Amino acid sequence: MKLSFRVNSKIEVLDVEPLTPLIEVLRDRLALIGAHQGCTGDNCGACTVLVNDVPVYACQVPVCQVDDAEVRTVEGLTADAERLAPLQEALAKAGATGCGFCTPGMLMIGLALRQRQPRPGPEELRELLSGNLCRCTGYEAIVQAMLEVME
Amino acid sequence: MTFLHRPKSLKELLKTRHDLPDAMLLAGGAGIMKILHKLEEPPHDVIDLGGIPDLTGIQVGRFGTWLGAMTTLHELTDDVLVRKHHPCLSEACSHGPPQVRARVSIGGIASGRRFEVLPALMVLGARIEYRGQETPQRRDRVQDCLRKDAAKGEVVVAVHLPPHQDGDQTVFRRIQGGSGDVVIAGRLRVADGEVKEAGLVVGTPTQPGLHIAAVEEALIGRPVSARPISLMEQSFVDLDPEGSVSSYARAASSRVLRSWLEHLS
Ligand SMILES: Cc1cc2nc3c(=O)[nH]c(=O)nc-3n(C[C@H](O)[C@H](O)[C@H](O)COP(=O)(O)OP(=O)(O)OC[C@H]3O[C@@H](n4cnc5c(N)ncnc54)[C@H](O)[C@@H]3O)c2cc1C
Ligand code: FES
Ligand code: FES
Repeated sequence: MKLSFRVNSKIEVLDVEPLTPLIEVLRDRLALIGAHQGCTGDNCGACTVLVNDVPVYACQVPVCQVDDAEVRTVEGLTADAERLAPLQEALAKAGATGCGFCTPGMLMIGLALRQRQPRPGPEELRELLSGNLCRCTGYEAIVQAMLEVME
Repeated sequence: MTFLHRPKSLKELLKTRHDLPDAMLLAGGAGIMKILHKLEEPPHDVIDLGGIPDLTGIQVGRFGTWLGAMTTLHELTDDVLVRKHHPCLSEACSHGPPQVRARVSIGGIASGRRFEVLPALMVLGARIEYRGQETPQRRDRVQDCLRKDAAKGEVVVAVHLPPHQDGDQTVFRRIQGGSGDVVIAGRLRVADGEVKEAGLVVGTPTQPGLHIAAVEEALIGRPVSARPISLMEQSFVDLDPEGSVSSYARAASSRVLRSWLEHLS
């Protein structure tokens, strides 16, 4: 099917099978490899992207569901490829990344929350992060770094 | 190759469903990938329920609550009136990853038989409304739907909840267990000092109906009474073929719920 959607503000028109997972389209067709594929559907959250500002697991979304929608991936966090976005900088500074596999998904959660609520509390952040696993950091550094940057 | 159909009204949906009885339905889409993995080849036709206004919305009124089949778990947790009138359902819908709750629909839950939300729907006396072009409209109790599949060509269009009644108390608890979480939903209606209704439903991901003593222990930290286990075992009924949703006999429900509510207050 012919499908058109915006990814990080750029319009994409693709001919694609409707049930293809969004993550495959992003990574294989659009070369946006920031969102990771970790578990294929067991809630690791590494594939998290925003569809119309709502965080979703891109491995679980059939691409036909983003027709006419706005998709944001970690690549769209900053317009300047040479510079980090404040959220990215905060995680890096706080040592809130280990292997980095979960980081793109965590960042998208941070972005979603920031858009929803300029000054979220730790409980709101923890609740929204509950669908993202991190094997390296123990979460606290991620939560603290994000809260600091959102203040 | 898969063809996507996008009906724009309920009438169009029922016609498409009737013409393509083997088509796969796409609601929130959260369960689709798991279903696809089990198929040998992708479906020929998919019907997207996403653009049908007749399947969306929440209406709370004097005669009960109407939940359009496409209402998401997230919307059910967020809705002020659902939270006020059916806190047990709202609580049941608040568990699970936000990325999934934003997409899973109540129609998908009713058809997918997920153990998390069904116990709450059951104790609230919910009915599932099915529509088909050639079958009469029907509203079945959730417990009756667990043992049979929808007729070919039918769709879940809504879930109905009876109105909250004076003296109603409901509770919902999710407990992390070794082999997966267990959810417990209960409803007790006491009027004039008498128990008028008592319902206790337990849902587990895998294991067959939980022992009532284990339920009590999970809720209150100890079994409510020291009755022999063999007697207690007789007080539950498995509601689905896998035995993952069980309901307890009224006397047992009433006893456990009263102690539970006392304990909570
Ligand atoms: C990673 C993951 C995590 C999950 N976590 C949770 C959780 O925490 N809590 C929870 O409750 N569930 C959870 N689920 C399961 C999910 O609730 C079920 O798969 C549910 O059926 C999906 O609903 P949906 O609206 O997304 O349906 P879809 O995925 O769009 O549809 C799946 C199938 O359900 C049937 N269906 C859907 N809507 C209708 C309708 N209106 N009428 C008739 N048939 C219909 C169709 O057969 C359809 O093909 C999870 C699933 C996944 C993949
Ligand atoms: S890759 Fe999507 S949830 Fe893990
Ligand atoms: S940094 Fe390694 S999984 Fe999170």
